[in-house]
Amino acid sequence: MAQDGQIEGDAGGNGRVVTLAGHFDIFVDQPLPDLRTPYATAYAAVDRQFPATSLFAMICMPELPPRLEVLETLHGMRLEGMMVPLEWGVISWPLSGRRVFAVIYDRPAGGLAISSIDAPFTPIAEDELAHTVMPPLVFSLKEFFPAGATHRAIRATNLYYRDVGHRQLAFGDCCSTPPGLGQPILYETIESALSGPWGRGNGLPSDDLYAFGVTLLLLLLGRNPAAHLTDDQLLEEKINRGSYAAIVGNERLSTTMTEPIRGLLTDDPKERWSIQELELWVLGRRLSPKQPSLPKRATRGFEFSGGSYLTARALAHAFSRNPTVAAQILKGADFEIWLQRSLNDPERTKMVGSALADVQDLGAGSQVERLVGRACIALDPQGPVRYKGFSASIDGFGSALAGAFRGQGSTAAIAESISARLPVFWFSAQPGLKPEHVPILKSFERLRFHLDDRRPGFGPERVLYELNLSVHCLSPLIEPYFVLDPHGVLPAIEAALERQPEQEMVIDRHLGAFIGARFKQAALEWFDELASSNPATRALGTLRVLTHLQAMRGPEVARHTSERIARQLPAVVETFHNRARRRHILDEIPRVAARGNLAELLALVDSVAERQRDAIGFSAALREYGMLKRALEQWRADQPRRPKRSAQLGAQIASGASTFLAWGAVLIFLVIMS
Amino acid sequence: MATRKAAVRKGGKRPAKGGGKGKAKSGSSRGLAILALFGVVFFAATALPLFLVTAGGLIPTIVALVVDRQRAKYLTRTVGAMNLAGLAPMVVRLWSNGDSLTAAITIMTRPMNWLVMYGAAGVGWCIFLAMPAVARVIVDLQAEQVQASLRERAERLVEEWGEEVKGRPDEEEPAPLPSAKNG
Repeated sequence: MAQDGQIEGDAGGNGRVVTLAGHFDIFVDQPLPDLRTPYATAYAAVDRQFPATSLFAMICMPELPPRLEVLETLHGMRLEGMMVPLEWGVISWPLSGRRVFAVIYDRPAGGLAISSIDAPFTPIAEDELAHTVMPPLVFSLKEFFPAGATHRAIRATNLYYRDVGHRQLAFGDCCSTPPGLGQPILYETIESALSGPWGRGNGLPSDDLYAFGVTLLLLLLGRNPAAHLTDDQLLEEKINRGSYAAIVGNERLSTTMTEPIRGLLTDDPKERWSIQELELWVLGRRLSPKQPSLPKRATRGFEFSGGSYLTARALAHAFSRNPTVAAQILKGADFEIWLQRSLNDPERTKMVGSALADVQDLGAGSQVERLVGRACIALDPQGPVRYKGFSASIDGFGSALAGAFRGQGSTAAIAESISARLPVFWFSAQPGLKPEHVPILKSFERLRFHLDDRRPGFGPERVLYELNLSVHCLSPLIEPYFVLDPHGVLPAIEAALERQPEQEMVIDRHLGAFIGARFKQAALEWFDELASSNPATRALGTLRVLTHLQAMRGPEVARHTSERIARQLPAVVETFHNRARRRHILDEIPRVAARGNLAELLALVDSVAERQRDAIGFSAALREYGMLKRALEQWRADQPRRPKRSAQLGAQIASGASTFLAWGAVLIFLVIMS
Repeated sequence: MATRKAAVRKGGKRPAKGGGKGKAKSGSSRGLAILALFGVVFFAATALPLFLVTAGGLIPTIVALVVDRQRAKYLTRTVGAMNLAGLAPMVVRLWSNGDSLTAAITIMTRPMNWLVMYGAAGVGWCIFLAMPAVARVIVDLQAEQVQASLRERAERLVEEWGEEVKGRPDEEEPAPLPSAKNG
């Protein structure tokens, strides 16, 4: 991924230019309204190395995490029927005054094929569709899917003509938004449509093929045959009648086109046409049309909240919309009888029994939601995880959480659903654990521990960054700098602090979680100090974490960060006992901070040797003071005995003095006598 | 022996073990007294003039010996030393006049000689009485000096390490410091 894009001012009369990866010039003053999407704007661009090529840049909304893994997958592919990113990266975007994510594409010469499906548009003839339009699209998907990626943005309004003659169509951008976010319910499988727009997940190639089937139908008809239905009605129709019947309705399709559209709109993913079957059809081999199998229907409907439900999936959907009533129903005998006698699906009955058995106490509100969430999974194992109004497919938790942190949903509900082990129950409800699900299952178990940890660096924020490699750091301090990896953290902090002279340097929950998730060398104890209620310990923790970052990822000089942390360090210095040492360190801090080397600053305020010397010295001083105190007390206690001791001493002195005088007198006498 | 055993059997008190020692001590004191008496008699018999002068001149020392309750006999030493210094000229004069009984009586009949001998003993007694007061001044001064030195050192410690060096009343050792994890 390219790093940074610098504004280079006017370039040959094209206005302001932002450069990406050193040679892609994006013309800020040349927007391309035809190529913009609901979630990204488009601007003219050029590759300085190949000036003749016509490019455009998609400037992503900062609220939406790009799909970095898909960008990596697509990079270098040569696909006729899909727009392939040439370069991508973070640039400083003058129009928003912040840094944003940009993707460079070849500019489709024919522009957007269909701008809206709300109004009728020119249909594509069946023959042209089958022989000209479909082959490059299908062959592109065939090449794309084995790389382990999904497009998740296949829709009629995301098709571009590569040529001026409007004959060659290509799928548009799929990297600037979370998977499936921009997809109307019409293009989504029932399972995916039951998920919230943010929680659809990467899904499987079969999801893309379903969307492709709907797209083919719309291109063929030149309008949306389900336009008269609201999203909810369309979803209910899909659940109750099947997707093909719900979307195609009474439209008359040719036998030739019925075959792929029916195959692709099959609701059971196992029965849905694979890319190989579609390719065979494009190559001219006609397959016998499949009759889609409908889900098992009950002999009589289950009455709930004014509706009558004949399938387990429809009932699960209804339960998720009214969990309080559903919880009472689930514990009642009527539901059990309906399951056993009317639905007559032993597998579902067993699974529902298992779901209800583990949740006994319905006193707490969250237990009701948990019970209903488990029951929904048991009734509709292929469906999403549903909890407190949140709904996401098993691989859509990451993007759902990204949306929740942007105000599109509740982070608490997502966190609670993970803590309540609903994803784990979802896996247990599947007929067989797929290999691609094993790492996801393990990660959910790990995420529960992160959620239980209250320290900065953990909690829902940590889960957000663990599940989304594409989400930039949402710390208010550096959010506008769109930092995607640990390399960028310290430079962004430097830049932010330079602009905000009064800003304290604090590692908040987002910054801590981002470092913890992205910086694999981060040790758990780094975050202990950040959680302390003691400001000195917190300041030291902040310094320690940033020192590690600087040591491993640079930059060598971080003067603003260093000086800002230095403001908090007097509290750390207070932890030294020796006053002379404190004064020396306090005098040194500004000088060392000005050099911008955090390791030096840390060594100054938290040197192991100095700490030991201080501790040993203080211990000795404490003992000495104790001894002095005891000695003084002893002297005071000795005062009453002093007269007696003085008398004793006086007698001794008198004895000595008289002996001395006597000898003197005798000597003098003897001298006189002689 | 039989009586002692009977006393033990009847629950009576066993005779003190130290009883024998006390008897031995009093016996040895009595022996010393007899020996001293014998010495005095011998001294009087062999050198009567010197005995008369000495016995008369050392009466203050003998008095001091009697009133001195201290084990180390500082009063006796003090008075005795000065008393002996006052006696020394008389003894020299006796010997220089032939060590006769006449010379001894001559010395003893002169009041001036008594004044010298007893005056010297009196000076000794005065020294003994005055010295405790002097000693008290010395002891007090010494105590003040030592305490001032201790206080000064304690203040320096507080200045160097802060009030926390005084510790809590129930705490002898310093509180654990945050461990440095540098590097």
